Amino acid sequence: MPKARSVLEQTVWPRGTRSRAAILALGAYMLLYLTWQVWRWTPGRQQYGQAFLVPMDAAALYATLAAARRCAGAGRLRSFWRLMSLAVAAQLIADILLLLNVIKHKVPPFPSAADPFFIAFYVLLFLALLRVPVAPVGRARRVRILLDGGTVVIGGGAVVWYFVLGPAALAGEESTLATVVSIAYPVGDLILLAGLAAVLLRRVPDALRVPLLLVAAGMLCSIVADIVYGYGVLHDTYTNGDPIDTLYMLEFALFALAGSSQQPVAPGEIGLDVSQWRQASTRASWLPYLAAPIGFVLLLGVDWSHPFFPELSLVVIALLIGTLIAARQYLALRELASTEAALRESELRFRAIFDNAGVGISFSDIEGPAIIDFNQTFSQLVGYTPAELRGQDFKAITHPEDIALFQALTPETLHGFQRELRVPQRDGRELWGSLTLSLLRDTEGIPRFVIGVLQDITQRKEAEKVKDEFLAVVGHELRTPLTSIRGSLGLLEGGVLGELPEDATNILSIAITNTDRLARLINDILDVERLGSGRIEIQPTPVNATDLVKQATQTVQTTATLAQINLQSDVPDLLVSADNDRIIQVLVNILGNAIKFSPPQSTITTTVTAEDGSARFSIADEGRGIPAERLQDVFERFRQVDASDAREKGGTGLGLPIARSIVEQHGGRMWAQSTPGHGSTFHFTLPLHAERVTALLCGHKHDPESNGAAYLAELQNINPALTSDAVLIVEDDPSLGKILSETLNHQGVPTQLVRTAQAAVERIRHTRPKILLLDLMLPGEDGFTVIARLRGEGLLADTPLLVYTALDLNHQDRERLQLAHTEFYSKATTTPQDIQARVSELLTPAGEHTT
Amino acid sequence: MSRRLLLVDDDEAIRTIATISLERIAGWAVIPAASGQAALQAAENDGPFDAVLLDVMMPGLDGPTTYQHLRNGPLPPDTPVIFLTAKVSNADREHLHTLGATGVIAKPFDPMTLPDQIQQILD
Repeated sequence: MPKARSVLEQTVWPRGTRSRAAILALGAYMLLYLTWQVWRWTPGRQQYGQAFLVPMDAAALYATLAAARRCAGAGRLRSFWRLMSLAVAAQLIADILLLLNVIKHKVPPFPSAADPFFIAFYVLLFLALLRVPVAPVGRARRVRILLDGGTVVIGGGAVVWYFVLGPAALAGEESTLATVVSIAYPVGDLILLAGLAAVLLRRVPDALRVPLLLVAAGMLCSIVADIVYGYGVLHDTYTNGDPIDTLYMLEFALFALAGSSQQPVAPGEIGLDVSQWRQASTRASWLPYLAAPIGFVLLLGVDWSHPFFPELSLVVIALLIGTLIAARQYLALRELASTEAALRESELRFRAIFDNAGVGISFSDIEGPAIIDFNQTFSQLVGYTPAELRGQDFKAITHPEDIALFQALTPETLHGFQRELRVPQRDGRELWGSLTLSLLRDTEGIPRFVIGVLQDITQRKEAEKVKDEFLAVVGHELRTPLTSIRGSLGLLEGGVLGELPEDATNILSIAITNTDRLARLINDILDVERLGSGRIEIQPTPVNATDLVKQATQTVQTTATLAQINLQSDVPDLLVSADNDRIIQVLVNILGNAIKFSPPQSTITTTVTAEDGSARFSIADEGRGIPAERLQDVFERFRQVDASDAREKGGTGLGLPIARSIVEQHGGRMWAQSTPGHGSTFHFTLPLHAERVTALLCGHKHDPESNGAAYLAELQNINPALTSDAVLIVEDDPSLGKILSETLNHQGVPTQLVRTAQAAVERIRHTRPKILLLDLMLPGEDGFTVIARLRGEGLLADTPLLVYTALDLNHQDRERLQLAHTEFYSKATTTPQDIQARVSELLTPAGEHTT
Repeated sequence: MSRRLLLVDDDEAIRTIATISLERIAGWAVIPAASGQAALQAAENDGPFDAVLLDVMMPGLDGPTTYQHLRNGPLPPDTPVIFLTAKVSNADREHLHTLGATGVIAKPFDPMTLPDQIQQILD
């Protein structure tokens, strides 16, 4: 019911109050007519009955014209509504003429001047139906629609034949004209029925569905009314104002509603995506099944003795319907068979693709999660035979370090999950794989299955390792001789070994300039490479923006002074979360660039502003600027706005790409603005440390009335020791680390996450975590080292330690990990949620335990 | 003030440059050693020194290991040790300081200012 109501509200019940008032008026008018039909509160009968029809026709005419206007430019849709309004207009004229006749003659003559207009109504309505935009269909479907339409028309024909046509022809008293006209109505109805069936069985644009259904309902009223009317006229029981006229009233009320329910359609909106169209009503598919029994049932009522109804005529009709239905069923069955064959073939094809895919594909139950299906590659990758693998728990083929990670996945985070991971094989060997997960939901949208696509990337991983080593070696091997060259040249230039002739000094300075450039290039190329592959780890700490800008400005001051450029800065004390050295590199790159491209006596201004939880650094110069279309290019590798710049200005063309890469690794973004001729401004953002600190210290009771400056001042007064985190998480896997900290944060437990032993010890020296959550397998130094160093320095003597590892620990290992209070949790059996629960317990003061 | 420095670096070119820089510019005496092993010997035979300049990346005994050996053996405990390293990230620096380094000088160093840098660290 609610669904029907919302459809009604969206379509038939328009938003505009004027249209609503019009519909209410229509309803009221219909009610008035019904009371008249019941109580007949007027002296005469025929005139008033007929008079009621005219305003209803006019309303329908108005609504259909309005609909045509709303669809102006929508081609067929508009001409459908125009023809509809013409048809309604014909009916209006006919009804007025008939009314005049009724007033004049009491019993109007038949046929009269009104009849051509009534007949025109059918023709125009049929033409309108032809203009309904319907989706094109294939040949087989068209035949089926024809058969269905035929069944409907013959079914309707049986009725018309039985009740009207037959008896009319039999009576044969009236003039030929009268007979022809009276036959024309039911025949017109049959034609309309055919058109209606053809439209209702096809797919139409969404915008037309509701109006079309209303028009169809109106037409059905008309058809039923016509048959009853024909029957009535035949038996002389019909007079104008007969209760059957209610159906005509209803017909035009429905047409008026249809017109007002037509939503505005913009030009070109219809007809673009036919695949989205739907049948106006799926119930329309039942029309032929409704028509068929009518044809047969009528056989029962046949007056066999009557000469006009030899068995044959109705038997022929029934047979015809039977044949049509049988033909239709045959076609449907054949279509089904070929669909099934196509489906089987498609299944075979996909099975072949699945089985022979170069990547491993698995299919498992989200509840299990047991492996239901997989391809050959998948079983080979994990080193199991298909028989062993089927029904296996996914944990068996997951690295113990990763199990907790998978257990923490929710349907939302699971879909699209992508990760490079170790794949333990059955025989104990290990591969590197790239795993992508997706979720398969059932028809009700409940997640049911997980599809995993696993690609062997062992070779790539090995190649990456070789490349890393190569880069490290090359970096070192290139730098070492360069260092000596530069050093030697420096000593010569410095006159340490005696004064040199002027020419030699010149040559020497060329050598030095180019050696420096080569050194920069090597550094930048290595940086770009390592940043690009994420091998430079950013270690954000709270740093003051003022300090960053001060340090960077100092670095480039000499160059700026030489170029006669004034460096200015306006930076408030803002704590940002950043890797000090890396951000100075960013600032130096941008400032260096700005100096290079600024004219002497100009100013470069650095400003920092706080906005939306981040600090925005802006460096504005008064240089020649960058054309708008090149603003993106400056962040591309080896791109300078003018190709000759590289030589002239001595840049590597890598400074800005490196800067952007670093900023992005901090979770910020970097962009440039420029007015050619007036200068450029480079902006980048860094996350404010403030957010974290406020969250830790103040919860969310930040006073909305205090202004930003006071808020920041408050933050700067924060003693770093106070920012001690409740839980220090040491975990090198970024995803698991994030999950752990989010799980804890969600329970209101503040956390800090570090990835290396080094960082962990450093952090503990400065802060005193309430709980230490430690992974043992870390890059470089491991978790054992962390504990050894903490013991050595006497740190965390009374802090609980939770060891969360994938390693199997023996007694000795456990001994080595003892602090005041140590608990051990296996990643294979303990989820991040379990850890969170335990941490919450530990953080709750003893008295407050809820047992 | 004249000083005696032990310079440990496996790269001959670097040794030469640093020696020239320190001898000519600052007028200090430099005792070069080409490896960790040589450094240990020099510490035994040629000590005491006012400071030790120690390269981090060396084949055989690397800088930190050489440092441990020097501290455990021949080097008087109050002798300052300055590391020369191409790795200058905060973490690396921090690590060297944890070991007990008096100072860290980044490679490539500028030979013209090397004596100043050392002087600053020693002061």
